Amino acid sequence: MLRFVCLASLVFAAPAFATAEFPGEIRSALGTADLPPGSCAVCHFNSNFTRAGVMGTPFGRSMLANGLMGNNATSLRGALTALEMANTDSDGDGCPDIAELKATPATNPNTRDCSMGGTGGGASGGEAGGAAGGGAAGGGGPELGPLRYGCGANVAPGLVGLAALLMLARRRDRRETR
Amino acid sequence: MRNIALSLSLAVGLVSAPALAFPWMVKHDYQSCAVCHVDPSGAGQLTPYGRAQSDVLLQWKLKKPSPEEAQEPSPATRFLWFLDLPEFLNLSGNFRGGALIPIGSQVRPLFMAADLYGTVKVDRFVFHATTGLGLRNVGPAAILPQCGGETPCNAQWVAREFWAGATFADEAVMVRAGRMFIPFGLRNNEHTMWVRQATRTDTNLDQQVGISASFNGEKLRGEVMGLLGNYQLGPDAYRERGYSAFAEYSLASKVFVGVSSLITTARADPLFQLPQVRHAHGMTFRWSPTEPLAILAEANFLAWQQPGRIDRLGFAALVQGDYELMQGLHLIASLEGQHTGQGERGPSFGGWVSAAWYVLPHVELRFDTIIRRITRQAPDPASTGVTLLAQLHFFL
Repeated sequence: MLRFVCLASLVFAAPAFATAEFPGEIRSALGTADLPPGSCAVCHFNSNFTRAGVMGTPFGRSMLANGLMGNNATSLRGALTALEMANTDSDGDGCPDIAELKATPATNPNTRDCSMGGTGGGASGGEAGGAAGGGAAGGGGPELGPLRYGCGANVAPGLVGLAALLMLARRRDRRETR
Repeated sequence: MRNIALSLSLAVGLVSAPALAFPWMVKHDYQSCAVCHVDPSGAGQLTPYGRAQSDVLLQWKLKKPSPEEAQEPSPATRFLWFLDLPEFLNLSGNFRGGALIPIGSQVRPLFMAADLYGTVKVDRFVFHATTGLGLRNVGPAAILPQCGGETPCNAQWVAREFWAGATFADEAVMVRAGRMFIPFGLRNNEHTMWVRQATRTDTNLDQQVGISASFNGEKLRGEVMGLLGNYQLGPDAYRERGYSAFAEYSLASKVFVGVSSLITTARADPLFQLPQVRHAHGMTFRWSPTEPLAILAEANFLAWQQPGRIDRLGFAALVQGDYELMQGLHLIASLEGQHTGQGERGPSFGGWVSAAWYVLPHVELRFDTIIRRITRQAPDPASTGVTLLAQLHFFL
């Protein structure tokens, strides 16, 4: 219901949004009664200050790499099909993502909680993403984690160089005035 | 429900507010912002001259002052209204609070800004820093504590600007490095307007670390900045790097036309974590046909490119008229539009009707009525939200 409302006025302050209908679409597409608890968390890092956090879970990244687009149910179904065909196993626990979601009860395709006996044959999210997504970063590589604010340990490296430049300029000025 | 959501999202954007910038000063034949602002391209802290001019030109006066009176600023333009500072030191502050009144929802008090500004000018060298407190959603400018992920962004210590620079050519040129406002478009103070949000160039939270060179000449002014990223967010993959620049030329007295351009690249966008190249290119226009009236306009072409995905194309535009009923009392009407290129069924449109009253030295009372019609992707219908905003602003 809230989709794109934040985007309209808060492009940066609220960097993530969820497509509210997607959990229902996944249930419908997979013919499963329920999703793991907190169904938004299947794709999004949860967050307390926006409705859903960054879409950066292993499963979410695999979906993106296979063509998922926001507010586009067709792309959602296409990505689910691609993951099922490739037996993508985003969390590497030996159980393919779609099998985890179809299980009763469903298990989380982002955590190594496979309880159905791993097949061991599933492609990892990274492999599937690389193949289907044309090497897009969404499906492979190390997980970035959510966007975090507050510089804390971050120091602007340019400032050190700037201070040196200013000191040099000052010295030069003094020499010229002499 | 949609109206409430729209109003609330607007509220979130408004709970922190930036320093002021007045592009409508064109009506007083000010093209350059550098004489009144520490930042050579405008916004933020005022220079001592700017503080005096704020009294002479901005403050509400029941009757028009005589030319002699107009030249003599009130003693209340000093720091904290009464403190004299040494010439090399410029201290001031920006405090803003108010209330958001979404139609059909509860009134929300807003704590928008509580910032202190400090500038030291020694010879040709300028050192500038701001620090303050933010209560919510000031993450991109926050220092501590860290937030994001599972940690909400509540009360935080913020630092929006810290830079050092040197002036050349009789102060017409300034070279700076540090955390600065991004030079792009009209530097208007309504930071939630789409031209600022969609281009990520507002003076509230969109400062970046970079190196810039600015020029303020008789007919031409401009600034180009190399963007090194916002080091108050992380991981590094989310930081946008590239350039931003604007130039504005005086076609005639009180007529200015400008161009802006920005290209950034990030290894991951916050939403999809895919590499992204972001473009914003546009034009600005400022014109004062009669002394009380200023017309401002900005139109930007927007594009987002991500590997393996179709490019998104969009726009953000603004037309604003500022009419000064009497000195210190402004009526402002604004029309805005945007398209985010995400498959929505046409552009979204908004209208602002505002009144700004500079009732006392360094005190502003402002009311805004904001109407926005947001267009969404099919099958969702468009929604319209109306929000009233009241603000009280002290700039020390």
